[in-house]
Order: sequence, then structure tokens, then C-alpha cells
Amino acid sequence: MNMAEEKKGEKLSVRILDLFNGLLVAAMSLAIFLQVLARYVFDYPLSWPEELGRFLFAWIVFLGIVQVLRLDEMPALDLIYRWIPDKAGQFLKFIVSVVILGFLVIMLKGGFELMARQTAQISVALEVPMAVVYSAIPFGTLLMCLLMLFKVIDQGKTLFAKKKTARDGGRP
Amino acid sequence: MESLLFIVLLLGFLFMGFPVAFALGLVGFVIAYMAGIFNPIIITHIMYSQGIDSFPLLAVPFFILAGGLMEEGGISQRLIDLAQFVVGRIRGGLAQVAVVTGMFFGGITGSAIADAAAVGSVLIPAMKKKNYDPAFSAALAAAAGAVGPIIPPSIPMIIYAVIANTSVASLFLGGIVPGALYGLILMVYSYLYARRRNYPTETVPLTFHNFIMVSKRGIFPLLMPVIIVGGIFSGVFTATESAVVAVVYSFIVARFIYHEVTWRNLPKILASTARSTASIMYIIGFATFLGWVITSEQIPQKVAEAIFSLSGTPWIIISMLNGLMLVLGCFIDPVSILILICPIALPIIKQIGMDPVHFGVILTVNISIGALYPPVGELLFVTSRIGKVSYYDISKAIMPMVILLIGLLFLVSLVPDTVLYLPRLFAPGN
Repeated sequence: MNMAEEKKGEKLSVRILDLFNGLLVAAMSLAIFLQVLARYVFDYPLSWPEELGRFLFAWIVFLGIVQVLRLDEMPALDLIYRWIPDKAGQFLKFIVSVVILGFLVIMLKGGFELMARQTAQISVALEVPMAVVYSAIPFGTLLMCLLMLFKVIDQGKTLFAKKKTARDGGRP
Repeated sequence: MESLLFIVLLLGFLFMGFPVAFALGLVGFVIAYMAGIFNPIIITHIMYSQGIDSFPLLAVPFFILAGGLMEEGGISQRLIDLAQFVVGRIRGGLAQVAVVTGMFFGGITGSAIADAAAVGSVLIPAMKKKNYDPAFSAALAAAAGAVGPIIPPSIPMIIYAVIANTSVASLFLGGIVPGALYGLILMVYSYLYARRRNYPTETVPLTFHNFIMVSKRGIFPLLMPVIIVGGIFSGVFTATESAVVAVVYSFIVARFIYHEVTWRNLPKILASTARSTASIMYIIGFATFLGWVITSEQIPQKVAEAIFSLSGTPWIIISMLNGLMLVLGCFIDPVSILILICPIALPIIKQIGMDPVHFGVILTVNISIGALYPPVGELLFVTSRIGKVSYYDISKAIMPMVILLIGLLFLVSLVPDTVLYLPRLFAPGN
């Protein structure tokens, strides 16, 4: 019951983020196409679509990667997990997740500092605060940290609780 | 010493199962920490501002989106029909069709994985049905898909153009002859293989009526590379602009001509574009950061010195670089190799007087082949799964093809005209 509900909630949030990311991609395409139209068809070059496109691109990358991480789609080698025993594999995966979590925390710190440094800056064409763009980095990275934290807890639980409930299967 | 540490760490992290982007970043962390230049704000700054925030790289999501729209728009069957009409009557007809379809797709998606999956999902079952060896069928579909990045438009070439600051138009034009030779090699190999095993030809009515029918159905997707290459090369569009025009064109074809993309499945295509884009750009970001770290530690100079101390002859140097990239290709994905090799290779090729466009195309051919052999060979994973063939069998079946393609790589490397003839002909300025 509880698990099913949790799954459903997870799916909904995946779908919402997918929808949002998709909208960003559509907006970016339209902005750049507008620039092409303005320049070549109406002979009236605009400067803001290029900037808008680049800003949306930043958000697409840092929100998109959250989704990629969540769906376990990041390109990686998994050869070793076919060679070593299951238990060792689980342990190694746990270590890898912990290191990634630490890595992301450092990125989060860097992202926040970088954003803080940009608060006074205003973009050239759109005249929005640059922090609006740079906040994509800490925001996306924060979500990644949370995902990784949940994963570490999950993996830790299956790893260390194994002895008590030997046959619960354990979520991967 | 540091160069060695860099390679050992990178391979170590990759083998432990770290995603490529994190492995690159972690190696950068370690080297930067040892050098005393570790600083989170600089890491994120280099990663974002130098790696990701680039207008020319917006072409990457646009080409992914255009390819996604076309694929969802049902071009597979139409392109296969067209390929069947052109080469179906040659011995081993379906194998020939797979190669030509792979080349057609290469002109549309520019991504090897999408190509291999599209070609494989229809043609591997078809070949198996006609008693082709399953491992051969799956291996051939992988090899046919790998031509994608060599034939324009090409995502690796766009990334290379940004890093090496060269003309995308020249790179695209330069890929055409090597891409055609690549297809030819696979077709000849399939012909010989099919003749030995007495595989059938396909019966396609070679009538004028049929020709009109088939081309009418297949012509729209094939016009896309013409629009892209023509647009960039005539100087009308930049690469990014031509990519967005390709998006609009493929949307019109898929939505209003083929009626297969609807408002319902459009969000799915957009979302998967966002994910693929993020996946590539995140790797580019950390590869750029690692490139910055190794450059500030002067590792490229040391590698260059080591290479020059072995030999000063251009063709030997190029062969060594190719060898190095092929070895890296065993473990690392194509895009990462591209970004990591550039800081090392670009000064070297400048010193030996090689054209950066020529090198860019060599690099693209090299990393395309790199996706085809074990232990990693990402394309083998894709098509062996489709063909339900064991990884061992497909690895064995693809080896003769890989050896032939490495022969092509050396031909393209040592005979510059195979690459530079077309760019010189059409764009003498570049």
C-alpha cells in the first residue's frame, strides 16, 4: 500500500519535471527560431532571443540532469558488477553513491557562491539579474543532492539490515 | 608522473561504476587538490561558463530534437523502403539495406545510438527471419549506426568546432567522403559475407512507378541534411540557426505531412530531448573542467613532449594519437574522449602543420569506431539487446568490421584529400 503510493507520487513528480523541462526546450527552440525569422525574413535583428536561449539552456541542463540521475540514465560502466559477487557489488555501489553525494555537496557550495557573486549583475539584452540564470546550478544540484541522499539511505538500509531479514529481496 | 596518475585515476573511477561525468569531475578534484588550486566556486565557474554556456552548443539540443521528431514521425520504414529500392537487389539485400539506412539516418539524427536502435529494431528481426546469422545482423546494425556522427549533421563535430574554433561547415563537408567510404566498406563486407553463406537478395520491382512512390515517401527526411549543410555552408545560417530550422522543418514533416507526431506525444519527445541534452552537456561541463585542470598542470605539454621524443614524423605522430584514442575508446565514451584529447592534440597538430578540420574528422571517425568494440562498445549493448544475441557473440561478429574500419581510419588520416577535398572545393576561404 505504502510502497505503491510512494511509487505513484514519484511517477507524478517525474512527469511534472519532464513536462517542465519539455516546455523549456520548446521555449528555447521558439526563441532561436524567432531570431532567425527576425533576421532573415523581417530584416530586423533582435538581440534578446539569443540570450534567452542561452539562459533556458542552463536551466535545461541543470534540471534535465536531475531527471537523468533519477532515472539512472547517466552513462556509466557497469562491467565490474557482472564480475564481482552480489554482496561486494552492493557495497561498492554504496561507496560510489556516498562519494557522489560528497561531490555534489561541493558542487552545491560552489554553485551557491557563484550565484551569490552574480546578484548585482544585470544581463545585457534582457536586463534580468544574472542570479536568475546562475540559480539553475545550485537549484538543480540541490535536487541531485537530495536524490543521492535518499539513495544512500536506501542502499545503506539494504546493505546493513541484510542479516536480520535475509529474504526480503531488497530494493536495488 | 601526473599524466600517469590522471589516466590511472580516470580508469579507476570509471571501473568502479561512477557515471562518466562524475568520474571526470572527481579526477579533476583530486588533481586540483594536489596542485593546491581546489576551489568550489572556480570549479562550478569553469564547468558552467566555459563548458556549458555557449551559443554554438545550442545546436546540440536542436539536432537531438530534430532527430527525435523525425524518428517519432515514422521515417524508419520510409527510409528502409527507399534503401531497399536502391540496394535491395544486391547479394545479402537486407544487410545492404541496413547499411544504407544507417547512412540515411546519419544525415538526420547525428547520434550513433539513435541510429543503431532505429536501424536495428526493424532490420535485425527481418534479417533473422531470413536466416541471417543473428550475431552478424546485430553487429552490422551497430556498425551501420556508428556512421551517424561522421555524416553531417554531427553532434561531435559541433562540439569539436567550438573547442578547436574551426568552421562547422568545413567539418560537415569533410565528413561526407569518409562517411561514404565507411558505408562502402560495410557493403562490400556484407556482400562477401552473404555470398559465402548464400544469403538471398530482395525482390524489389525496379519500375519507374515504384521509384516515384518510394522517393515521394522518403524524400522529406533526406532533404534535411541538405538544408542544414547548404544553410551553414552558404553562410546564410550559423550552425545553431540551421539546427533550429531543422527542428521546425522536421516538426512540419512529422506533424503535418506524416501525421505521426501529435500534440499528445510531443511532450514526450521534448522531455527526452531535455534529458539527452543534459546528459551530454553535464559530461561536457566536467570534461571541460578536467581539461582546464590538466592544462594548468601542463600535462598536455608533457604528453606532447613524450610523443615528440618518440618521433617527429607527422604520420607516425598521427598514428600514435589515433592509437591513443582507440585505446581510450575501450573505456570512455566518445564525447569525453573528444574533449579530453583536444587540449593534448591541438598544439601537436598545429606544430606538425596539420589542418584542424582534417584532425576533427579523423577524431570523429575514431570515436565512432570506438563505440563498436568491447569491453564497452555502447552500440553493441544496444543492438545485442535488440537482436537477443550474447555480448560475446556480437563482439566476435563485429571484429572483422572493426578491423576494416580501422583501416579506413588510417586511410583518412594519412590521405588528407579524402577529408579536405570537398571543403576546399566549396569553401576555399576556410
